[in-house]
Amino acid sequence: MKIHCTINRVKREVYGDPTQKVQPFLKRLGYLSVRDSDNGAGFAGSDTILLDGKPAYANLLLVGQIINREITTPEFLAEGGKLSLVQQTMLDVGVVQSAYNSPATALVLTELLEREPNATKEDVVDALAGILNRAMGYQQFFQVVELVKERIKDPNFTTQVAPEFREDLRLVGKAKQKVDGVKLIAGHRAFVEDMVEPGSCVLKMLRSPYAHAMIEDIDTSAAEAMAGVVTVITHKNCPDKMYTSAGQGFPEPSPYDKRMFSKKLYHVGDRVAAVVAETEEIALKAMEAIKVSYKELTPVFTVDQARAENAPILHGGPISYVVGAPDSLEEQNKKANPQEDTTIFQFPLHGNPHKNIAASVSGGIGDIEVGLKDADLVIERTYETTQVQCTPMEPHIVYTKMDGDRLVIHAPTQVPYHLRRIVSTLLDLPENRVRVIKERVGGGYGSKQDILLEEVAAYATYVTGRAVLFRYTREEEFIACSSRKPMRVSVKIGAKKDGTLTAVYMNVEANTGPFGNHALTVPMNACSKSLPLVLCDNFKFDVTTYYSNIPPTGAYQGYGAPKGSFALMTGLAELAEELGMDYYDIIEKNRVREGVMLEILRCLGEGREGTPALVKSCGLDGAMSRGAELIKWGEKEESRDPDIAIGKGFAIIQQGSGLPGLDHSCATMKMAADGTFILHSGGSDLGTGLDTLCAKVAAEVLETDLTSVYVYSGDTDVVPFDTGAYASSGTYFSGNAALKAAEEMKKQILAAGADLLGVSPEQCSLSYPNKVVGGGKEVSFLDIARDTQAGLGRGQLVAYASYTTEDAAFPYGAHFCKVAVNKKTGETKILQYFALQDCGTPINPDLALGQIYGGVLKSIGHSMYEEMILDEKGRCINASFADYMVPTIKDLPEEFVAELVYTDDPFGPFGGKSISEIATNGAAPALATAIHDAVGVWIRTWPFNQEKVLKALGKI
Amino acid sequence: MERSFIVANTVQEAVVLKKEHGGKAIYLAGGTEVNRLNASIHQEFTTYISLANLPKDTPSLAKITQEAEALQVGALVTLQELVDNKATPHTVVELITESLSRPVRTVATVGGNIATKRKDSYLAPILIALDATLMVANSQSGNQESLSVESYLLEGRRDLILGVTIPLGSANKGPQVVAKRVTETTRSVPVCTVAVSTLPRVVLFGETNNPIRLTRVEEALAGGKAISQELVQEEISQEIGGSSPYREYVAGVTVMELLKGIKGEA
Repeated sequence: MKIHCTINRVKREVYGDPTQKVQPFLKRLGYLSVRDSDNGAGFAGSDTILLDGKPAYANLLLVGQIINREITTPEFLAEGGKLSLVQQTMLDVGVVQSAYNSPATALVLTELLEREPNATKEDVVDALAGILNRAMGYQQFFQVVELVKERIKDPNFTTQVAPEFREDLRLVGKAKQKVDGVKLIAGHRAFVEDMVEPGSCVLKMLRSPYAHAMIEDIDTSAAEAMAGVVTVITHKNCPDKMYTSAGQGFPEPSPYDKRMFSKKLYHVGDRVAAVVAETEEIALKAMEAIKVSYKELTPVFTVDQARAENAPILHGGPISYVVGAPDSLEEQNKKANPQEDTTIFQFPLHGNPHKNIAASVSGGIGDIEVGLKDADLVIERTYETTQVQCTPMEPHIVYTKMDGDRLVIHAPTQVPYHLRRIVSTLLDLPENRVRVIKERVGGGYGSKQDILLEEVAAYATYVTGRAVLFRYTREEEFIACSSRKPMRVSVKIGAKKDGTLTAVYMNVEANTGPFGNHALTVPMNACSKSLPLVLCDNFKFDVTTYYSNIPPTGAYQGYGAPKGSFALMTGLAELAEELGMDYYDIIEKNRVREGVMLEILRCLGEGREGTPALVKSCGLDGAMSRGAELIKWGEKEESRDPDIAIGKGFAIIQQGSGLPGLDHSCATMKMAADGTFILHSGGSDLGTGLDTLCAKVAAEVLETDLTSVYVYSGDTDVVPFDTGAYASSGTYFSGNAALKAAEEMKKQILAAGADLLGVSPEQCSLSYPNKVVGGGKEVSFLDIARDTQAGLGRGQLVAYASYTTEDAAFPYGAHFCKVAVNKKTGETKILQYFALQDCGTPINPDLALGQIYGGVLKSIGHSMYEEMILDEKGRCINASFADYMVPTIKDLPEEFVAELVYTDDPFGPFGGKSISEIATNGAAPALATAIHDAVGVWIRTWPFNQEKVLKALGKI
Repeated sequence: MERSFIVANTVQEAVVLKKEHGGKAIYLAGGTEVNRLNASIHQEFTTYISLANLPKDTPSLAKITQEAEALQVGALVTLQELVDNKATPHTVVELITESLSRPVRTVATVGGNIATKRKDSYLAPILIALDATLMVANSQSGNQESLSVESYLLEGRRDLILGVTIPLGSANKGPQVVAKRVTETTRSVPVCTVAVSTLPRVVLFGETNNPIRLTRVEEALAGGKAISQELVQEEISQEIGGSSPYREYVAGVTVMELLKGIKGEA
């Protein structure tokens, strides 16, 4: 029927189905900024519009409900091409990061400030309570509103939105507008879903209802016969190859234990059949027409069940090794079930799938037994962490199409090159016939490091020639994605009476779920990113990772570090209590310092031999003293309410900056004909501002403006290789590649300029803005460009750089918090949270602060509330935002402050170190120690919810 | 699935349409619950009967009127309009704003919140604690009928709600009410919602599909007896026995906390 309504002040008369949801209706009309994060659950707010001037969720409205009503979408704010005041201020403050919800946020804040020009903090909380933001923790939105209020009064009002660093530099260390910010905040075409062309097919996945089963028979004929069904893919007609979904450097330290579709099903939600059809409706109907008969097998869900004698085995097929097969392989394979898929190890990971072990490793330095013997006190404690979900606002999505005989993959991936390699291998295509284009990423947090749906869509496109869209529902995000691996981490710590550590032992038992992606490296990272925080002569660790039938796991921001930090730091706090020492003092006595050689890293390489590393910069001095000052460490506080107890806690944290010796980044740069530059970065900007960082670094080197460097990244046809955005590698590796490319460009400019000036290059230097000076003369970049690109010129200036290193740059930090625990109800309120972090030179200080806030809030979530809950059949029973309990702006600590602690690191680009992951490592131990300080109980399992507190207090 | 969208212009027409289409039709007011993709009720219904035009014929459906001892709230008043009304009891405002985001509040209606019978309802526990009454259009006859919110829910009625009468209390007169929604995060599904009023009424929501009243506690309160935690826990255990010890304990503690609060002890 004809729908009459007003959209963005324009009267419209369009055909529509009155029972259709408003969000897809608007999307069809071209309003791309009205998005969907929750399949119409009314939680995440990506679909926020104004209905008659008031905020409403487009997915909770039917088209029939907007007849003769007025709709405003975020597009309205920037009509005419100029950003609105709110949008511009959001960019200025640095709150536009992964940005899937940013247009909706701008709309909501605009409505708030029109309704309440003097909006208070409470008003902002109320306005944004309907918008979920997983990227940057909300705190800076208060700053946005205050700044908009000032700018309404005085349009020329300026203020410093973030601290500045490095007075000697123009761009690095200063808040500058994100280079991709305008299109993100304005809601322009940016994400994969915006690239889908009319006539594309839709892929829907039929998933296993069982946690562990064999497909005895599958009949897809009725589905295939349905009009509009293009193809159905099952284990019978998919590529017969094993692979890992882990987007890691090849050869991967993860077993190849996954087939695109397998006869065996490993978890509830595992792939049974993919239906590709002309429309989603047809695909869903066809799914219902597929007949499957299953043989249910006994599942295992926990580490204890998986390692029990006679436990059901997940991967019981043959085992093979590309290199380094153990002598016992033949014996192992005698028991293999040839009906099951083969598990292939690229090199030994000390796994034994026939015992449900995906990988294992042991190591240490010194002699742990001697260290324990030397101790005056030894404590042993065990800590457990749960399965938590990354919950990016943009669900996993891929759009694939053919370009002639080439396959094109649009994906919000953290690893374009690994994605290309895996798809090429599976499809037997040369890599030069596969192009991956990483679009803007609406939140990854580790889960988009894995190849979880791309290869199926790619295969469907390749065999049918049709463009295919495959987009996860929010439920699929929980049951068929990547999540934090549950772990049990035991520590045994020995110390002298004065607190000096004599021995530290860590035993990590990890649950990798159905597949072994990241099975070695995530649990190992629990050791490698926690043990080096303290100095001790005797370290030992054991890591064992088990398969089970829980939903898949993988990488999540922080990788294994949040679990290792939780165990080590809380263990040290428990040790301090037993020794009668202050926890702060025992940390101060034993912690890592600048100039220390970290010998423990010798045995903590990720799938290869490690190397000891020298700590060249360490901000723990400043972070700890500042944190203690802010929290008033040592001052016991009492509540006036006798039911409330106040407590304080803290933790020190570290991460790495990429993986020296493994990671590799490249960049190229060319000069345009007007003297500006195009930088092709191999790095994958996940919304964190990596492109901006690369632009700043290059512009700084080249004595030019930020606007003179355009960064293009993430397109495997165009940009050079990069291992991808994981392991906190962006700043250090991709940033250093951009730096090196700019330095190479500088050399070429100086040579060309020197020619024009008639002097030697050694006599020349770059001078801001855009000049070469030498011999008392100068020549502009414009003139150099014209000369080099003229008929007789030396040719366009093009620079290439490749960056690898063995040098390490560790970011450090200290998180302090104060909690109020209600002894009657078990409620824990976070009164204060101070996150002090050293990322060397904060190249994007505004964005860095946002990443700290975001990381902390995510980790408050996994420490206090979040947990994927499975029923006895392995079904996730809380696969939605509200049931899963993600924190929103209403759950922020009452006082929440992030501060950047400057250190001078010699290896990072202009001294920059990573910032993205480390922020997730502090909350669990800081909160656990604070709760103990308040009520005297140790809670050693995530999440520290009301029920656990009450149990610990003996109330239930 | 083919669905149809019909706009009713009068209350009578809405009732007739609902009868005509039987169990496959649903009244559509704000739609925030009906239109939620995962809501099971959304899957069951194929005909939407839009109530959006009803206020043209019956303006009171979209109005709030303050009377001496009560607030008359039309069923199509949105939750945000209820929040913005100065006479709305503070507890109602607090519970709605605490648990619902503004984009839901601006669309969801008072009638819809009651009619969808959510066990995590933001409104119903307080309305029952205050002994609020509903005016409905009888689903068979279309005649107007008054009944308590509690009866509407307990009897599983499907009548079209026209309005709710909320008794108003002041410092010295009329019922007072306090309520608490126990959650881990502010927007997560509550463990329970408890409302306590000076009538006295003690209402517990969240464990079962129906509201639970702690009648023994109410009787003790009416008799002026001191209420012990044991008494409360005992009755809760009887009512929601088999639930987790945590849920039972938290419900009991919350009831005690609210009883203290309503007596001005907190």
